[in-house]
Amino acid sequence: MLGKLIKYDFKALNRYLIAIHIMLLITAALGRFLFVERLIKNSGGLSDMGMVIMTLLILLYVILFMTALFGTLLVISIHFYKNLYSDEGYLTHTLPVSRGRLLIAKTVSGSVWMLIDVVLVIMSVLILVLYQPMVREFSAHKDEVLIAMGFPSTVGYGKIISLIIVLFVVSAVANVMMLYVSIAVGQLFSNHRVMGAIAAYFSINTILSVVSGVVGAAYSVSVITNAVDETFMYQLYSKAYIFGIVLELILAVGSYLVTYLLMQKKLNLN
Amino acid sequence: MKPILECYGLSKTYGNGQWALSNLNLSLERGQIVGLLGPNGSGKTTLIKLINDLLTPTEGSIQINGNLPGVETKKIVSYLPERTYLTPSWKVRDLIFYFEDFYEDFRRDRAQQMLEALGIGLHARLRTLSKGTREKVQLVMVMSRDASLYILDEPIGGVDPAARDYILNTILTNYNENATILLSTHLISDIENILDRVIFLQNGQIVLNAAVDEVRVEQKKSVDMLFREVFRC
Repeated sequence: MLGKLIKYDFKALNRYLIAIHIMLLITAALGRFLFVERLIKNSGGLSDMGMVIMTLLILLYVILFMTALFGTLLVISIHFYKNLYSDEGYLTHTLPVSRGRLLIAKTVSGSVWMLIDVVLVIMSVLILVLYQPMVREFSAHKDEVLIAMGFPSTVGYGKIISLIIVLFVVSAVANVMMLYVSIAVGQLFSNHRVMGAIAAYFSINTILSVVSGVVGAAYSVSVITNAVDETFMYQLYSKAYIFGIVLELILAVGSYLVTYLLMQKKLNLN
Repeated sequence: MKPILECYGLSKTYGNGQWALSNLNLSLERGQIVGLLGPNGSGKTTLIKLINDLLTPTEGSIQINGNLPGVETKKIVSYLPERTYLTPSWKVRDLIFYFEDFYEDFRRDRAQQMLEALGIGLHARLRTLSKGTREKVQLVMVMSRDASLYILDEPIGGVDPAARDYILNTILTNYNENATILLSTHLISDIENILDRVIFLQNGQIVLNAAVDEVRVEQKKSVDMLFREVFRC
């Protein structure tokens, strides 16, 4: 049953998200081949008309870039809300499956799409700007780049990239759960439930920013003032990373549990 | 065998100080068609939503076939809400696959047969169908399950009289004799002949729970007449 639920959740999300991301990649590719390639080969070689088209294309890319980033959040939230709390919820909640499974299916489908979104957005930037000399230059000096950023030479790119991937996965889940818990909290209001969800989302975000800001600043100050050698930047990164992961994990698990309990104990469809 | 539906001291308030249901006790036996009747705001839909686990009771409890509302009860309850729950972008056949995926008791051949009789194509997109046709599609889906308890909230409200006859006929021919149908409606005279029992609900409480034959013999009135008398404004 869980597999079927996930299948239908993906079906609903794919409908919009595939289209948005394909358009983003196509625009990036167009920008790359129509303009960036030409600029690389022959700087200043665009006609006035070419400049106008390029500006429009860049504008389109930026719009699609933002649409992909925020649209993904929006599509995931709307699907969660519609499928569970609007008229569609009358069918979803009368399926012979537990509320826990409904939530797991939505968590899986939402988080996977958040990750796909991050990957494709990064890919679109790379399609647009990555070119051979830049890669060559980077490869030639990659160790120096690491050292300049404050990493000790013993830390390789492999480790850094793995840690970033772990962070992306955890924050994808945490972001999705934050959307879900906000919508579930919004349902506690008898009226204006969507407004309630938006208010809940911004409240949670504000609390998070304050906590991470205060703790982050305190941490940085303590690391810098206690710095004994050149590795303090690395210590700062490590501490910030661990703090970030722990915070996201707490957020994800906490939001999941609250959403689950609200679905289980407080469901009142309008 | 346990009664198919039991409610004990069931109460529900939406937090506005008014009780949509108050201390309702009810037991429904199997194998009958029960009309849940009452004026607007009497608590019919609240009761139906509580049975279907879409609302959380403020007090009291419900048992369906001896179980609290949950996964097990949803396997045997087939529910038609008073609103459209269809995803507009789906085709009729997507809905059939969906029901087939989730309900073991769904009978696809029965659904297809009924849709064909009503002239509804499997490839029609739900968005393009009229409101009445969408209601028919929903009713067909619900009646294509071999459920133990059918709960139909205003099943004939928005459809034309010809389709209404077909639907009532469908209900009668498709329900097996051990199943119970709980049906809420305002259109009493249209369904009076198929009902075995009526429950009158007023201000969240049951004011009458009687076999239709009793009403006719003892009160010498039709259910419709009795309803008009009890709920006279």
